[in-house]
Amino acid sequence: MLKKGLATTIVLSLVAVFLLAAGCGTPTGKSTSSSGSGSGKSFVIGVANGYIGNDWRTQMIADVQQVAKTYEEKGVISKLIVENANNDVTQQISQIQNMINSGVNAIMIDPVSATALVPAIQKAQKAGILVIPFDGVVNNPKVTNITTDQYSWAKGGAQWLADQLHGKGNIILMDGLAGVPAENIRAQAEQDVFSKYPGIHVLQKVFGGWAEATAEQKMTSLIATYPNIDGIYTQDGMGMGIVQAYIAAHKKPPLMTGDVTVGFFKYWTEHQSSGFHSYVESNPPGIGATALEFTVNMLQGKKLKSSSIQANPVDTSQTNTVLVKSPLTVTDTNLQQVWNSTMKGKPSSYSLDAWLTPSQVDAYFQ
Amino acid sequence: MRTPFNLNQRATRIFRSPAMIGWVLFLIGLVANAIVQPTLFKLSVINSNLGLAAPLIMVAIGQTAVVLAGGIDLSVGSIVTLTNVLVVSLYSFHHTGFWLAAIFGVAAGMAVGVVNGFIISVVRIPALLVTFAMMSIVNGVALAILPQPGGQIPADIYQIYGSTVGGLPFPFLLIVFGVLLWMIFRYRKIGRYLIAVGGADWSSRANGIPVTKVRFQSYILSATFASLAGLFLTSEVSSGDPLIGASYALNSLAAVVLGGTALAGGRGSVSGSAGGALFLILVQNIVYFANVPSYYQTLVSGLIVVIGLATTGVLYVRSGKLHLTNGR
Repeated sequence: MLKKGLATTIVLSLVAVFLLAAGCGTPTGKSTSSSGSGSGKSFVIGVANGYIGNDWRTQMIADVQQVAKTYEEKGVISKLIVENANNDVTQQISQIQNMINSGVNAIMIDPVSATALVPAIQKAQKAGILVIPFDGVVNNPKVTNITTDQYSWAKGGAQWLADQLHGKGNIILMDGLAGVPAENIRAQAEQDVFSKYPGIHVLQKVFGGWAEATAEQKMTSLIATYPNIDGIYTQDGMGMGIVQAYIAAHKKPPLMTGDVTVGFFKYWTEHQSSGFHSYVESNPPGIGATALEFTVNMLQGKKLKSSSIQANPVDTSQTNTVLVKSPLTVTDTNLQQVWNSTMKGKPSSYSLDAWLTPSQVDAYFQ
Repeated sequence: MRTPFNLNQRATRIFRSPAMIGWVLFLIGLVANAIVQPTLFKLSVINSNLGLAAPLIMVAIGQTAVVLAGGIDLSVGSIVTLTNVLVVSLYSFHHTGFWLAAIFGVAAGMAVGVVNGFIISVVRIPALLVTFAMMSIVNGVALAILPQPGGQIPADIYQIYGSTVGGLPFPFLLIVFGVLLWMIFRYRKIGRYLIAVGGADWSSRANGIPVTKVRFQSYILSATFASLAGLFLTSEVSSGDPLIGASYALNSLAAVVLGGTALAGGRGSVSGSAGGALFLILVQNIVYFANVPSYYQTLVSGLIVVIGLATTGVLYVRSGKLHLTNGR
């Protein structure tokens, strides 16, 4: 009898959890679904984020919510629905389908896959929903991707290093992860810059996996191998690892491009006076907030300039991508100001962040 | 001394059958989903739900066969991926024609099952280790075949997959096909042997059941269903992706346990697993339409699944048939 009671209790508690979940809010099925064009309307926007398991993505979603809030206060957005998938394509498809079924006006997608979402996206478009992939891209001619211009991002740092070295010296390239689309694009930019300077000699190119620990490990053996490193070009996520390797070797780090983390900025501000120089261009989590600005503009019926839409960096045969330039660059001159205004006091996992203002976004539209 | 058959006993048997748990969970899920999502029973909504459910149900059917025989198959997700990338690359980049690509993709998946079955039943290395290692190997092969997402399948294929035939959603017909395919095995010797082997390995041997052969076949069955799932999933997403099947290993196991099949083997049913799989699909809808804040969704859906699993466990204790060690 006791066991029977237990089973009943569990079944009842299951029902209770469902009802509790149901009590969290009203069904979204009847939300204000207007046909989606013309200003003065209030929009429901869904955000299907493919992955939330790192600080960068968490910050990205927080940025989107922050910007959405200002639009909610103005009555432009009536509701923002955020869904996260665990890097699982089928889960993201299910979330997109739920957004379609609940009648949202637009779906922003940080895609798990560049191709597998296409049928779900077509279903959404058939239902008259605006689809904006952001951060990552989707290979479909009928969507508009919004992503940071990785080529220009990598080129900025490489060019700075070449200039600082006056076109002469031995450098190390600390790249991300071979085979990943963003890496391929960035590597191309590095090569395009450094090949212009015959005086710059690349001692070695290594892959630090955009991870601090891996970068530190690789750099430690590089310091032991090469006594003559004049400069280091590193992509993001690895700057502090490189610095740590130098600290452990009791050496001063050479001229190097830096990183967007609070840890790196702290080191930079503390050692600037003793001759440490760096350059940081943000690859900002704010791309999500920027994409939201684009989405709102497009929902209000504005059209992108044709010059704003460029080749998809992953599949260059398709012209469907807005490449957003990094909105913030930090050098010795503005370091102190950026540190004081946006970085100081933030947790060590925080990344330098920025997104385009409404007027900057306006420039992309007709 | 057998008591004579009567209706009351029969009802008890149905209620206590392992499949019952899966279907009760499914019904609770369905009601909860319908409450929070009034549009649930629209044909287009049913269609899109079943489109995602069909591959999971297929994988779960195959997983049930292995678990019934006392094993486990962690490589099913990688087999789904392998079939997906093979079909898409053969069709898109080697222009073989879709159906030839499909046959080849399913055959390759079955081949993985043959290797699994051989190493586990003949070489006698534990299934957990073999299929875990096989998962990495097959995922690696899939990455080599298609390093980044791409390719496509004929548009008619995925349009048919999302359509209705005679008023019935096409994925539903595929699920029926999967269940019928299973029936072919279930009511032959192999079906009865699977349960016998899982229930009591040594007495099965003593009774002349070819245990090694039955084990071997269970992995081929599992791989076959996983590759068919890969084919269905390919029709749903209409392209190739070298990471697409990653979630199927654990989700299929969850579906099997939710459906009342004992992980130790010997007791359970495929229809229960199908109910478990549908329940898992519904949980995702419920957390969405109940407006659970995004950061708590994983927690809430996890909780729902855990409670579901607990229900299964308790009902086992009740029926006095909890096999944790299976006497081995």
